[in-house]
Amino acid sequence: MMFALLGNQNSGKTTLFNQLTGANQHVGNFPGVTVDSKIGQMRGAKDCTVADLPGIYSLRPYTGEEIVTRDFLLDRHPDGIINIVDATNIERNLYLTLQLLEMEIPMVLALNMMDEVRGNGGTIDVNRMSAELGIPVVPISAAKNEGITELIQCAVQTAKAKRRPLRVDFCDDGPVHRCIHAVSHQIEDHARNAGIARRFAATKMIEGDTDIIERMVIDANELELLEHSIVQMEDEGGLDRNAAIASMRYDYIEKLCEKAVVKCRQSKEHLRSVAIDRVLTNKYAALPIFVGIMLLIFWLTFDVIGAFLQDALAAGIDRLSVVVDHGLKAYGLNPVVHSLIIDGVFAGVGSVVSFLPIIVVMFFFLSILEDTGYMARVAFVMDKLLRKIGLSGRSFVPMLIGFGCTVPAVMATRTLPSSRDRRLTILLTPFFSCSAKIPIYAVFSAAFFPNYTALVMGLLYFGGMVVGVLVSLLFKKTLFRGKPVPFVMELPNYRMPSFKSVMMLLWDKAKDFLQRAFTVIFVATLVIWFLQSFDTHLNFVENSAQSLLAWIGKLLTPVFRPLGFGDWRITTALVTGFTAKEAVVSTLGILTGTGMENLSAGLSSLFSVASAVSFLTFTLLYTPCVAATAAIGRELGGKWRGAVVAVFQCVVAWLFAALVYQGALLVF
Amino acid sequence: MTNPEENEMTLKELAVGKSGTITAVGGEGVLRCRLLDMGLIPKTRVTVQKIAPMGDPMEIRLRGYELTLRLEDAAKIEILPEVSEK
Repeated sequence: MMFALLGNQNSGKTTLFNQLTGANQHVGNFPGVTVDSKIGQMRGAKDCTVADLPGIYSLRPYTGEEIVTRDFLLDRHPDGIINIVDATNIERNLYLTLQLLEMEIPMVLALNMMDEVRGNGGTIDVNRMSAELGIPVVPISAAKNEGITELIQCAVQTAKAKRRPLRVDFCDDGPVHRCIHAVSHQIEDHARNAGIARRFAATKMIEGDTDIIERMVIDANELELLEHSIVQMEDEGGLDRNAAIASMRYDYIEKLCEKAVVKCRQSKEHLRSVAIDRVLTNKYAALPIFVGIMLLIFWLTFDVIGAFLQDALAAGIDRLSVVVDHGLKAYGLNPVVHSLIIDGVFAGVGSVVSFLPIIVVMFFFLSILEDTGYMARVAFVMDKLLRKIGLSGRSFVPMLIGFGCTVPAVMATRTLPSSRDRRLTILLTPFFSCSAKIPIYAVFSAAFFPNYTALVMGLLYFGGMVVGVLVSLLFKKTLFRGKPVPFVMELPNYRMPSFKSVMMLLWDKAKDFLQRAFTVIFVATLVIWFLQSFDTHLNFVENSAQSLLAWIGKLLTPVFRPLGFGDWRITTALVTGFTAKEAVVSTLGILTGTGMENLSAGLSSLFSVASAVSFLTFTLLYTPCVAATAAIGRELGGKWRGAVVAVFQCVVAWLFAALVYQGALLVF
Repeated sequence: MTNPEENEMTLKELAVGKSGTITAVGGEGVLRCRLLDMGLIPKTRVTVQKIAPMGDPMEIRLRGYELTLRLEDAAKIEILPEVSEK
């Protein structure tokens, strides 16, 4: 049997899914953590699976998440629905419940956070509510793992007995009631033929859900008759069709709550939230605190914990590679295979693994921000800044992480509720200059602008953001012309994050990165190794100046002449930058023969001031490294999309670098 | 009491800390449906909690929970403000 787990965002749905299945799945306090539905085996119930569907507020066909959920229910015919409801916010949560009931699928209501309701002196008459709604109601606390066994038993029994909801009709006598019933009768046959529950079909018909109307195949004459009934309802009731239906549902919920719910006067959790918000979203303190928190996270991730773990891992891999190196030399292995293992495999594994500490540490902090509810506040505080480029405040944190590393930044967009926002944010994060590019900036400023290092750095970071804004405005006008999902977002109460769910997320992200990114990054490093180690006649070369890579660099040189890079060594360095940005500087060191110590002198012989500025501009904007490209491809849903983004970045970089170079020639 | 019609204003204009009752929800398409789904329907009581530090969006409380929405969207919601007791 298959169950669908449904509920509002922030209702504790993902926590419940974890409790039901024990599977790896993350819980977030930030609206819309679940983007793609996950399926898990239900604990203690044989052959019962449960699908974790996106958190939604309604079954209207407007957002991708709502469509996914509605289509899942209509087309996959789950045997039962487990509808999780936040008991502390019961009115709005039941709004979805009433729509689900109309679908006439066996259903159980899980009243979550009942411990919080009781703790504040409130009560909910579970039996009364069950009788009124016509479905079983089970009080639970997903966070404390209370009532889960009862919920599973109840869900399995209800589905096994195919016990449909006893009630689907929630309207009082009046124009809305008359209209729904008139429409139900008229479309009865069509709905039956399309396999859609009658009442659901009727309300969707009135709300103008074109997809449902198409499924039912209704001819123009009948549509006109139906429209007549609906217009009559609007005239008599004084509310238009959408408001009338919504109002009918909320009216019923209010009456139900009067009968079955004793609300607490003030909840401790809410008072606590208000007190915390007095500081965190304070008019003057909000921005400094946010900047402080982000700086602390960056410092801990990239300088303290992440760097320590990264160094430890790198040292481990180095030591292993030295041991293997000695072993292979002693064995007298063919030098080509030896190089493949040491310079290819070990370097490849090393580069993949080096990202892992940063991802894990970064997501540790991110999931805490998310689960506590702070991320929603960041969106609230920052929304005004991002609105102009067609995004909402929710994209702010992922973009900011881009300053550290593009890989976790792109992975963090998973929390954005609309796929439009998600894609646009992913395309913008590479313009936020990542920390691996700092060595390039440092070396070049030291060589060409020794007195203005800070200014050069500042201009580069700022320039990247400016280009990002320009690109997003372009996208807004072209690819993403659709209206953004409205920014009408719940601000949930602050909650303590659960250790279990944070750890589950870390495990999930680490696994996800290793599994999906490993192949791409690994293959790419092997390709680069091959290009560096062989010449055009496929002979093994000791000097990389004769390698295939240098040959490619020479081929590419004419393309880069308008940017002022006439030398193949520059283009070769740029190509190696695709594996990791740190490689740009080290390649230049090797190819100029100056090493890292005298690199400044080497650079002066390769670059003029104008071409140095152009080079900085190009490295700022051109393709992110292979790990980031793989992550982008993964989140955009296709490796080739990652490649398209990489090419696009190169084109943008080329255009701006050419502009800068031609401009700089006039100045210097 | 004056005629309620004269007191009508939009949610955007309601001061922080003040409450009112929704009389009409404007806007269109996705936005309007989202507002209705979140419980912003005629006869609902709302209280303005806060304005974001940069002056937009606003935070309101209704039906026992907090919601944030942009001022331009709040301007589409008409309300009848409650007369505060002195």
